Amino acid sequence: MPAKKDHLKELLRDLIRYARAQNITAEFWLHAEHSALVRLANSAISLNTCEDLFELTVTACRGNARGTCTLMIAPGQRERMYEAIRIAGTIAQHATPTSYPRTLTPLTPLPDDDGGFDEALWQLAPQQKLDYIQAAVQGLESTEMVLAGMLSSGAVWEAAANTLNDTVVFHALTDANVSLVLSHAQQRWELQSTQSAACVSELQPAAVHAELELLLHQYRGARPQQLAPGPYEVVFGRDALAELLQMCAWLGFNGGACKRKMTFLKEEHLGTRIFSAQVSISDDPTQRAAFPYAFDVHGVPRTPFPLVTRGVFNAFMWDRDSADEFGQKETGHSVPSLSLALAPGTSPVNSLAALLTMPRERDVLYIPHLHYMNAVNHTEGIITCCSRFGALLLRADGSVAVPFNVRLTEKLGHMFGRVAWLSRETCAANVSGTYGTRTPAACVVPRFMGVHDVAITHVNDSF
Amino acid sequence: MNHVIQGMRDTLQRLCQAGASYADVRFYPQQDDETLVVMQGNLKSVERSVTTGIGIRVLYHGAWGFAAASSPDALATVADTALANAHIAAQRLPYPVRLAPRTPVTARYESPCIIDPFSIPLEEKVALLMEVDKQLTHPAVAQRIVYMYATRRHIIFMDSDGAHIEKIIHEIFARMMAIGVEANGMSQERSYELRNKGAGTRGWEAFHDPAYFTGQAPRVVDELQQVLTAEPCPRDTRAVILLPGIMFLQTHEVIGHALELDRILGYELSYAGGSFVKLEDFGTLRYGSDKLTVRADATLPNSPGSFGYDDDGIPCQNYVLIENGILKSAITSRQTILEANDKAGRTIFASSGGCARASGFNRVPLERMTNINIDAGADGTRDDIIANTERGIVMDGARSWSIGSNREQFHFACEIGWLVEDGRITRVVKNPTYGMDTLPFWRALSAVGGERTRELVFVPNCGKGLPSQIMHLGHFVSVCRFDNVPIGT
Repeated sequence: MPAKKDHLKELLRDLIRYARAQNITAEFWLHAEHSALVRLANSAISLNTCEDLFELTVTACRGNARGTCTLMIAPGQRERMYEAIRIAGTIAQHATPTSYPRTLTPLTPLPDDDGGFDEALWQLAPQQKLDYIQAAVQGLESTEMVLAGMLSSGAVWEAAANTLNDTVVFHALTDANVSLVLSHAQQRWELQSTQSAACVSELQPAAVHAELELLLHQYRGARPQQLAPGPYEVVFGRDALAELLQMCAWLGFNGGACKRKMTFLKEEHLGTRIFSAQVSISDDPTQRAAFPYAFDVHGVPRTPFPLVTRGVFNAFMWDRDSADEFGQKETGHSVPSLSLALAPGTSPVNSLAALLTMPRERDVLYIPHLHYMNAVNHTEGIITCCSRFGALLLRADGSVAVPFNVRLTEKLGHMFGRVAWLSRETCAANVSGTYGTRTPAACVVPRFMGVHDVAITHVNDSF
Repeated sequence: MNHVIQGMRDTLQRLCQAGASYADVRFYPQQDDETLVVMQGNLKSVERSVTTGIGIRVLYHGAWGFAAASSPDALATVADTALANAHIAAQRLPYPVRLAPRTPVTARYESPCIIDPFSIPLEEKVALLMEVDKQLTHPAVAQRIVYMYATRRHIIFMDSDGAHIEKIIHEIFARMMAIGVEANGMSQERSYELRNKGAGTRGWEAFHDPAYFTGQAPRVVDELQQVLTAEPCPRDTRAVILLPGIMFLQTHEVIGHALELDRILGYELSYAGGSFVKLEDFGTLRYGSDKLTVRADATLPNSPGSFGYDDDGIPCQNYVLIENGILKSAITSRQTILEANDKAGRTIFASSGGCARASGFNRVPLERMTNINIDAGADGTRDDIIANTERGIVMDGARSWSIGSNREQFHFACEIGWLVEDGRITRVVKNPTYGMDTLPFWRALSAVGGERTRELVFVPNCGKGLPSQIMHLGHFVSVCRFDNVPIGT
């Protein structure tokens, strides 16, 4: 890795020199990646793929005008990178300046942000992946139980610089994301287990196997039921909770979106109780499991940023452009991904086995995963989504039933405002997408979150 | 570039000698993209991107391996990696992939374009967006967003069967959005995206007729004002009349996606989901009323769902998916139809539907929608349909959508609704929503507008697959009415 790091830094310094020679003021963001993905479907490896990409983004600055050129090419094509600088400069020459001043500051020298890079994970061999998958589903597949899913792994190397000084800041990390699904070929129900890893030692197939086995035990032979619409006590698993947290960030905590009238949190909510007192949310770049950035794309150092503390709303996140437009102080949130963390609670329910035997006075609907969440109304924070992958109905009499999928339509304010309990153990829930360039992301969340009176608005009568 | 093409030929030959039963290479000598975004009269970003790369797909003992790099000079390494990946995949393969036969072609295709958007000076593009922004400026409009995206992709495809296809694809998209705030602080929005009537060409000339984009801004502002002071949509059961601005999405989500054959076969289960459609349903399932005829038409000249040849080298086609309400076919490609026929125990699909599409050099082709269109009906204009509706609601503008994991049910929220009583529009309502199970909904289709009501709406952002891909496509749809639909949920 040192050779790659030095090469990328040397490259950026050369591009800085070139831009200055052209009298172009510019910012640079370099991204290189190695991505591999094993895709499973119908119990087969339906695709085994990998890609090696190199991308340079140059943003030329002329007063309040900006022009950006992004180049995805071979890393050795220096002349084309020079051309990208000239193209960005030309765009900036002809672009209309904004009505507000735009910030460009010299970079602060920072230590290399590569403590999250695991050579062993970067070099994960195909046989290791196959062995993992086999161990995770050993004895669980059959002609009726079909395996689907994916094991994604890779590495990213990124660096930022600008022409105001010669500082280059460097970031590198490795990541893996596992999702394994067992589905019944005839009955069509689906069970899922997931795992997020920042290093190879965190790839633990036994944990995935245990979760799938326990869910399979509940589902096999069960007679699925159609629930009735209405309010339910709901326990969200880690993956569902991570999705809700991300939706909160998008619909609530983004300062620019608030000014654009697209959030349920407004400026008058600052300093007030918006969620349950048990809820504390932060964007925390010290959480290694969240694949954090120590600096943003402009080289602004990032530190733990409390968003909600014991239910009280602390602050909006401001990316540079939104901060410039609305006269705010940027908060280091011009990042490819956030490092959201929901603080743990005190509940001893920290495993699926414990959840199933948890004493309960009412029926409780366990939802491990949310499918196709979308915002019905941004300014009221209303979202709608469906349950999927192994939901369970934990009856008040202690029994466990299998429900058909349901639709939830609820306000985010209620989801985090009617919290019954939070597990005291936390874990990483991977939320990486695979659109575009590799951008590892995970939320650190309690294993479970119980919520009172969640509105179930539609119920399926089959899977 | 010639050395790359010769290298591609040599590589394909080498892969076959090494045991591959099939291999293909997609080389993108250059893909250009440009995005402009104007917010509140400020040019927020002008981004131009240039992409080069190569992707190689190998079929070895019925298993797929794929590799890609943004460095075409790494052709040999990419090929070796793709083959090695296929070797690994072959270790776990209960059902080997078999490709349906086809005749390899040598061809060139360029999407119809008179004025290359990349030849237009930046000032002219900015001026167009600023003009729309100016028309959206109104005291009732708190936020204005206008954006434009153009792409030009040069693709060279070669495979081990001898196919050699060169494509140059031009596309252009644009959208405007006006956001207003009610007295109680709740926001409403009204938007419009570039569309056309199915004919014409796909370059900068798409903006020449103001009816298709720039001329819509005053109506957008006017309707936003109406929504801001409107009553909420009642909770009721009514006839729902969907204008093309939401009808396209209705078609997309619970016809288009539900009929992707790889989804039906379970290949998307771990991510995008499955389908309620089963192989035995083809030819027998009543999907909708007899007013519903749906086609997959990749031959429309002026749509992002038309591309000459798919990424298996199959010519684009126009074929029926649903005919008079009965399910006939699916969105198919070479790699799934033989498996589907085998599993069904009969020949459902005689040949590939030409729907194998990859979003870029670094993604494998999947079954993707082309242009999924609803045939024009005989129920006249929008006003005719309204006049024949006793108790209904007209809806337009997709605000949010959420679909069940097997496409079996859905929930949509729209930007604006107009209540209909006794054949007349009575008032505007805000926050209109509707949701239902898929089959009962399509079976309740009771009116389909004529050709005059049809609009071709472009979709720039259809997501699917692992690794995930964003695809461009279109829907040519009429005004449609569905009876007895729960609204206001």
